[in-house]
Amino acid sequence: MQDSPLVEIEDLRVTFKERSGSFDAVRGVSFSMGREKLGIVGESGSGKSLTGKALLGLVPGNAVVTAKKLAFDGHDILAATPREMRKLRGRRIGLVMQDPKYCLNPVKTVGYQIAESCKLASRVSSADAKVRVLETLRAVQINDPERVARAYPHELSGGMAQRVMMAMMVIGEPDLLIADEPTSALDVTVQLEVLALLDRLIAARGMGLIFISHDLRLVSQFCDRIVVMYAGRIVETLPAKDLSQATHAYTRGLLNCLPSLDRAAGTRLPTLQREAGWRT
Amino acid sequence: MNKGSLLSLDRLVVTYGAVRAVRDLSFAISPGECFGLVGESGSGKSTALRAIAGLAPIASGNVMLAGQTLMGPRDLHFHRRVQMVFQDPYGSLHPRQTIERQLMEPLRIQRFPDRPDRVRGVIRRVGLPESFLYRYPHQLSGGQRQRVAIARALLMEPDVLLLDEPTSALDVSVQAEILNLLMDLREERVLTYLLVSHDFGVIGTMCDRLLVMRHGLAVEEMSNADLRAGRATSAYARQLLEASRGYHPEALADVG
Amino acid sequence: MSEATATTLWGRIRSDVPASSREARLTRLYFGWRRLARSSAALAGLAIIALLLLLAIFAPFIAPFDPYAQELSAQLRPPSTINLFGTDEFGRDVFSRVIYGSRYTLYIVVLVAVIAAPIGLIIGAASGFLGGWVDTVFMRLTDIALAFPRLILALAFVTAFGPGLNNAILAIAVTGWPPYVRIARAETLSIRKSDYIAAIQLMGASRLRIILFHIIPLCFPSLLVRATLDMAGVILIAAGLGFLGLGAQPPSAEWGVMLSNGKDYLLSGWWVATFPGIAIFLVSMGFNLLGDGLRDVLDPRQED
Repeated sequence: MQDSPLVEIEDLRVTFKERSGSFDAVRGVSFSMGREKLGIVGESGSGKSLTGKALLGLVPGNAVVTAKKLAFDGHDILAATPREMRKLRGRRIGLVMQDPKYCLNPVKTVGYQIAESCKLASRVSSADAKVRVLETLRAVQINDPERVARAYPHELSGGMAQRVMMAMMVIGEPDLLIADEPTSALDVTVQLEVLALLDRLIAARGMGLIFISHDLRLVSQFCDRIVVMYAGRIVETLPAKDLSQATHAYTRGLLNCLPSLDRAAGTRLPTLQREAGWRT
Repeated sequence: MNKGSLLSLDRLVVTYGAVRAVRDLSFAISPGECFGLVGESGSGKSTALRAIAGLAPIASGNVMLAGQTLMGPRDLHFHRRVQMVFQDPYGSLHPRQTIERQLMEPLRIQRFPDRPDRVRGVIRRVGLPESFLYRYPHQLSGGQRQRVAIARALLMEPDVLLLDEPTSALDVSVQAEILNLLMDLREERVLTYLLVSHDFGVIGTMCDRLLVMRHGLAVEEMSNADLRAGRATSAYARQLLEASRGYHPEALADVG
Repeated sequence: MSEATATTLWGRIRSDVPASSREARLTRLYFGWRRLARSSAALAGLAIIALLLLLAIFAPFIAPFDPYAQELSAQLRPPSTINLFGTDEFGRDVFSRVIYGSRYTLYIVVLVAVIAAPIGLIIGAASGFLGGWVDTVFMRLTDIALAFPRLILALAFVTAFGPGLNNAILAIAVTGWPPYVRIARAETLSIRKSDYIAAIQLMGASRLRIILFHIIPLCFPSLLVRATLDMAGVILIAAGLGFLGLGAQPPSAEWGVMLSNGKDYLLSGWWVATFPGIAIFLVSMGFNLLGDGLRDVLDPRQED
């Protein structure tokens, strides 16, 4: 463990320029993290995904990213050339998205695609890459890696495709994994298996994880620390185990409005009364 | 089947080509009840709902509404009594019609009188301002669209609402508002709900009884009290219930 | 805030707070127009089409001479201040003839669009929505029609029914509908399974009602784009038929006919063929530019 944090973000802003004016989707987000599991939670429009994308240099073309500091392991991301960013993305930072089917090339076999990202990350021969692919597929709990490596993305179930996606991301042994709603498209039972797998991979390889999700409860169970975002700003940062003692009204409101089996049946759910003050 | 039931299925089978999406599904819902269908993707829960509405091909078995077996295409009378709210609020509204036009259309089809008054009344009832009548769907948020979809279903003054994952595409804070609206409406208009969901929290909040489904088959019928007490007899229902409690690495040993 | 201030119709439209469904439609038109107006190419196309329209309507006021008046003493005069585009082999004023020619072009374009597009729209929408044997029959017919090259089929039609402007239009229309069927059917297939069509079915709407009021309006934008882009081709085919002597007949001031006549004098009087040629080129381009602009405006993926 070194002293300098893995990710340092200070006053991050993402602004969309449109003809009708500009719109700040992320407004002054600051946090830093080490090799830990950090959850970013918020509802749609909170800017949680954009924060992750800004870190990868993957914001949409009409968006402008500014920050006092946006650094990954000491590298200034805002000053990095596209070439350096590609290198960083291939080798040091991995991304797992919500729907793996959109991220996999439909006309190439899964094995080929994982081998490609392996070769991108480190110079290895095709034969070595092949061995690494099978190893990694085994590491993501795929029992018959030979068959899966030969399969095309459409032949895989959602849970299987998400494992393949993770294999693709961890094969380069990155230092940081950004997972944007990695399990939201999956059934609950599959979801838990994928999470358990993610947990093991991170522990085994000593990676940092940014887990972006709308599911406050899941994030609190899975992550070490939670960042709660609302309307482009961080409203609260707290250790995951202290979620029940959250102080901000928004966090508490989100927790309360979850339908739960602990509440009496047929009673109205508490709703979130949004306050203007949360935005500033 | 139970004579007092409002809506019942008797050994319903739905097939798409060689795929049997629903196999031998039977249940009966009493008037005023909220009945839940729970399952993962591919369990056939939504297909069963669509089959009742006449949107999926019934291979065999019966659907009965108030003791009468429904045969062939559904008629105008059926549509007055049974309405549906779809999962995806972005897909269930016509993209190029104003909300007013979309709410007028069912009233025109069913030849209701006082159409403008009814439309204004229903849009207010679901908690939207009247000015929203003159908007297009893409100008509304997901929760607002779902309110419009509920308003459209209410216009027919139905007895039964088929709810196909009505809140799964929404943020949790919006979900709470929509579930509250549905609970209020049920009480106010003595509606009978058939609610499909993958979320035990939603089912437990809304439903009196539920049926767990898997691969098109009924696995286990439970009461709300059974659900809350965790009294599931089948292994699959127990596993689903456990999974719905979220991520607990220690409890996962037997699953993973 | 803006809702309170917008008291006039224009104010409500501009600030997008309509107070009725009619105003909502106007608002949409207004914002569509603003998107179209952002593209200078589309505006240029629109300007050309508008010019064509004005010329056709006000031809008698704009044209300095009678387009059919022969003046044998003034044969093949080069462009001058009197005869802007010169005169042809009969001493007729080419400028006046080009202006009157816009009427033929507009006549052809409008009639072809009015005949071919609705046929294609209705057949395509019905075919896509109803499916089954209806779909099979219509689509095989369309395949057969599509198997022939369009100009050749039009030629065969005109030869069979006799040359002439109206037969040329009919031939172009009859050979022009299959692409519209394809587009309307493809659109319908993507719409048919959607939840909003299911919702309308659950209201008890008849199939005819669904096709007419809910599916066809959605097919309309892509058909309009296609028809606009198609018009460039229609103008070329019409001019081609005129050129070959199978469309409009001399002495009609139709651009294809004029081009055909002028080709004999290319060396002694280049202006006789050149100006109708430029007119054909400009109008075709105008339709293409406008079509591209409309596609950008009407493409539903562009709407947020």
